Amino acid sequence: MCAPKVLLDVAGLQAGYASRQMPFVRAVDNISFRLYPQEIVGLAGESGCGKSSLLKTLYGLVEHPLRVEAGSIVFCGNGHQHSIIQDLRATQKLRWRYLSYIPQASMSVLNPVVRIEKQFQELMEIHEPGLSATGSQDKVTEYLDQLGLSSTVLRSFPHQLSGGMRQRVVIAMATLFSPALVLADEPTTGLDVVVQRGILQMVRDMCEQYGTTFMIVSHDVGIHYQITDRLMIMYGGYLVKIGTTRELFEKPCHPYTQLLIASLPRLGDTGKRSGIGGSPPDLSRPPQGCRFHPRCPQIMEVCRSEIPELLEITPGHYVGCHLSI
Amino acid sequence: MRLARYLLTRIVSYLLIIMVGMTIVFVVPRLTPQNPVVSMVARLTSQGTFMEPEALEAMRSSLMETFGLSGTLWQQYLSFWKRAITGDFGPSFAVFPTPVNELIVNALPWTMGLLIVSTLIAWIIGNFVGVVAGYRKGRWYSRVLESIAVVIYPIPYYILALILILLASYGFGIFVVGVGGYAIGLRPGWNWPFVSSVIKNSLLPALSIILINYGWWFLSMKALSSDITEEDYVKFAEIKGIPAGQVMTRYVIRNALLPQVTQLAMALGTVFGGALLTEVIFAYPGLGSLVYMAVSNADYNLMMGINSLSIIAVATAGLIIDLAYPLLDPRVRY
Repeated sequence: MCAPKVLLDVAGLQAGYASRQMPFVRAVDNISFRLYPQEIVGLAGESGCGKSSLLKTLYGLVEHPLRVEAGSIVFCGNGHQHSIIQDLRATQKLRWRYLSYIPQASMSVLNPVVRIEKQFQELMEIHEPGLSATGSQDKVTEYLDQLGLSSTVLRSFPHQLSGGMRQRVVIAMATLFSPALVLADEPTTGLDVVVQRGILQMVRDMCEQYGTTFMIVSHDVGIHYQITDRLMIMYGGYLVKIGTTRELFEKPCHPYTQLLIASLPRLGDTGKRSGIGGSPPDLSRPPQGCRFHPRCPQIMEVCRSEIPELLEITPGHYVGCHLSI
Repeated sequence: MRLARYLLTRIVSYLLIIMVGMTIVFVVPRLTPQNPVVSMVARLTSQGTFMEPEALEAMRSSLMETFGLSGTLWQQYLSFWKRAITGDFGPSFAVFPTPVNELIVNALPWTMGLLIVSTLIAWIIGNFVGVVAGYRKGRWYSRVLESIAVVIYPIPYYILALILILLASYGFGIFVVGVGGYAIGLRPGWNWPFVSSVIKNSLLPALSIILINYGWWFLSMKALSSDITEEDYVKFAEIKGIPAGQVMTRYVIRNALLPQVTQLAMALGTVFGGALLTEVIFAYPGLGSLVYMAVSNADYNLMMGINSLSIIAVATAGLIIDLAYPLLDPRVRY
């Protein structure tokens, strides 16, 4: 059964890419976490740390070469307990109604030769077949009106809209049926800060109005700071840190998190910002022990041989580091 | 305003294309060593008819006039245009003195019937099968379909046609290869023996055209649709939970069809040039046979008539598709 108030329960998830030329690349390694209703959760990490792979797996988009090795994803957003990976066919039925996904590069995801209106209508047709044509039209117009998207947008073709507007349209599509969970992969990448802000505001409003949970993947920690309630940090396929955003910024604990936060610019601070030395691990040949140890400034002997477990140090605050034991 | 300017330039270029094309049609026959008047006079005298030198000369000059060969090249060119604009290409030389227009009008229904129908059938089948193979690439049936097209497509047409004749007529004896458009002794008209005979005689030529064109339509559609299947908007359609069939029709076909429609319009334009090989191989009475006859007999007037028709048809097809394109693709605006 679903634990009370849990929306998504991920336990021991392992997934990766299998190809003939390369050794198996395990991009998602032993990941466990929970999502709750009506929250915005961030997932941060460097490029190639497995963020997008994790998100795809959560949506059940496991197509060759991506493969799930172990673990479970239990989704409770439709009132029942549903296992995403074990029952892909039923997952397909949940999609968009209860669980939706905003892919990367979502500016080019709209059908270029069909008006926006038609594309919304198509979704209504498929996911709410009971509704009449005028009924669905009214619903779409009303919904977009609430989001501040005018009817000119509806009558446009995608190429007539700006990048930020297209991004809004895609987010509006993803939340059309007020799903319980929206997985957003880099929803603000490539947009200027003003447009970013507008989009983040839209996400925040939707979370508050409809109780939708958002899981937002971004490599931009600044975005996470602005919008997320909780933040998860991924490194080399592992989750190294889960906590409320505020707590995480105040007490980073994990050396990687500390360095990440130290690299952020701060208002009024004219001191030099430092990056993290070295480069992220090659996931086809990950280092022994803690994945971060080759770059860690506080390395200990145990880090070279043993992978630290993700431990709850205070309620809701998990750290995967030998230092915090 | 922009539309008006676009229309103006497009129509000017349309007229220019026709002018250049027609000029080539005018020049090329004059570069061949054949001269219709000389050969016609030779034909008459070789039959043993004795003619006075004056009469011969008079006949020669009146023939020169008839075939548009009198005067300087420039005068010939002007009178050629006068004829082209009035739509009168004069008498044919090969079947003297039947007017070229009459020959073309008689041949046109045969060619159009055969080529338009078979081009459309090949286009529809090729595109439909191509999109399935492109959208579902990697599946075994896609590979099989592609191999079939890859094998058929490069076969030279005349070999394919001969193989068909051999198989159908001699091998299996399904068809008796007909000569002409219909069986000898039938009266053209809307009666069943005639219509069935027309269909029977055109089946094999049509099949050969469909087969050879199918390969091309299939391969181009497969390439287009497998590219489009990789596009973000198709992936997103699948993510949105849209069933595969609808993804294929509304996303893949809708986007892949645009270049294919252009090509179809061009292919239909070339119909008016006739299918020379088809008509010669299957002894089919169309424009292609007429072209063959015109070229082998140095029939200037007939050549000019058919080629002018074909040039105008191709140019018009291009014009129509350019003007209609904004209706098909909303991203194109003039």
